[in-house]
Amino acid sequence: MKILTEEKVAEGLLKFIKSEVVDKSIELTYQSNLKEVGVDSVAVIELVLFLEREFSICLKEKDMVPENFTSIASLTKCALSEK
Amino acid sequence: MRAPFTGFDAFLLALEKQYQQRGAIGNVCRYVIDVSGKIDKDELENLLNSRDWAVTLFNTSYQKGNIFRIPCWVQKNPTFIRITQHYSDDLIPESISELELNPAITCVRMDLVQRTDGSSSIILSWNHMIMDGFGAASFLNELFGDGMEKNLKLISYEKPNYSLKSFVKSVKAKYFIDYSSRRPVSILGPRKINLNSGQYIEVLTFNPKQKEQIHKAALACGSYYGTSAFYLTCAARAVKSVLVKRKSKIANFWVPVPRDNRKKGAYGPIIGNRLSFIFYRFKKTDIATIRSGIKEINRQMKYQIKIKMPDAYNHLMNFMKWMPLSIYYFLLKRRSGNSISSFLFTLAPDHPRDLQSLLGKKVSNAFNLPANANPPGLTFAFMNACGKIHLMVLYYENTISKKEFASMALHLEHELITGHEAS
Repeated sequence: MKILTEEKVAEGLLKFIKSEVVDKSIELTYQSNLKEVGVDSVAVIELVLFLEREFSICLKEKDMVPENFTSIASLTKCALSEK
Repeated sequence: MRAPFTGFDAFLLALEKQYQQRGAIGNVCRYVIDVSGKIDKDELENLLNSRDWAVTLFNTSYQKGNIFRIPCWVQKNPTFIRITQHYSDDLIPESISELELNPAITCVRMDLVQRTDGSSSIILSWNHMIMDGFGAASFLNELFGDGMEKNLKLISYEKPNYSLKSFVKSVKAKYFIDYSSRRPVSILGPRKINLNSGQYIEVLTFNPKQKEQIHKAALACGSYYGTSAFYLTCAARAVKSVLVKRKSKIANFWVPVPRDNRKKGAYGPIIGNRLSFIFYRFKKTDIATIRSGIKEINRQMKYQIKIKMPDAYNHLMNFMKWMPLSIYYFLLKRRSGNSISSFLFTLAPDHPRDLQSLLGKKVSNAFNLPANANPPGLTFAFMNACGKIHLMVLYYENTISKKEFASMALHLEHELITGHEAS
């Protein structure tokens, strides 16, 4: 069984957002504010589905609060707390 | 310059033809920017004409397709862009709203409106065929923005992927649309295009405090993926309240909601629509409460993203643009006359953050007004601008009366701000 690390999840999310969500001109770090770079409701769902597909992490309803989607770092922390 | 239509441009062309056959004005969208202080017409005209890409956009028109070639956008010989000055306090003065924008001649125009309080408004009008609201916001941001290089793309054509796999996906999208839009679907007005009906635009504005209340209410009601599900539920419930008061039979609601296909933060492309849809169908019982409505919308949104319905829809549009318009329209509507939405709903792009001043004057307000197709003759558009939320409601009097609108607006305001069902 693969062991999920914070680094691995954060890296996966960063790669996914860079390739599927934001324009290549956008500079994105683990701390970037996702709302400010344009992550909207559809993109949030794409992130949730990505976590399910790639890491088998299912976020619970209680986790679906804006604070957890502020940045890749906060989303990673939230996702790993579900594991 | 010559650029083939995107799939969505061709879809709008099919609709435009239907309007033209009936002598109607068609799909005209507008972006209104209010500024504190008076803007000089010559200064605005000079700015516009000093930008080559702006001149190109204003001189672009559509060229008909034929059996071997799909319709395309072509640039005419560049001519000086003239701006007309109007004097009125109406959001859209009648002298502007009555003007036709025929895509075969010109698709975009800009007007300057001087208000009696000494302020000015700039109104960009465009035929939806040439660009969407996101393209318009990018255009205005580049024209009036901070002057920083943003690598604006005026036009960019990506050759569609025509393969068996994409064809299968497009068939899947067609079946999905036909099935989700099947009758019975509730609609407030008549199903035929109506030319003799007056059109109204009403704007409900929510100040920063109310904006915060709305965001809190949305989350409390379960709108976990942003506020869009909350807005759509409240709009559907407001429409339902009108039907209840009319004592009409309430069937299902079918609402296609557009989404921007561009990557977030991209500057353009401006010419050519980059939109797809997420299609929602809900029963009256689904929207019995705000919470139940949001739950159902979340479920449908997640399902369609999971099965990549917006991509499949893009493939469908790419295949359909090769069809003659008459067959296109028939396929769109089918014999049973499906695909008429209960109402139109859109999340207009937020007013660009970089665009807080314009020609040295402070921007006080902005409104990105979508086209209001009739039928269904009722459009809800939400946008963020200058710290506020605007809910723009466009309607025809054959769809909803002024009295009904007033009652519906109260219903909407109450539910949006409190998150509690209006009685």
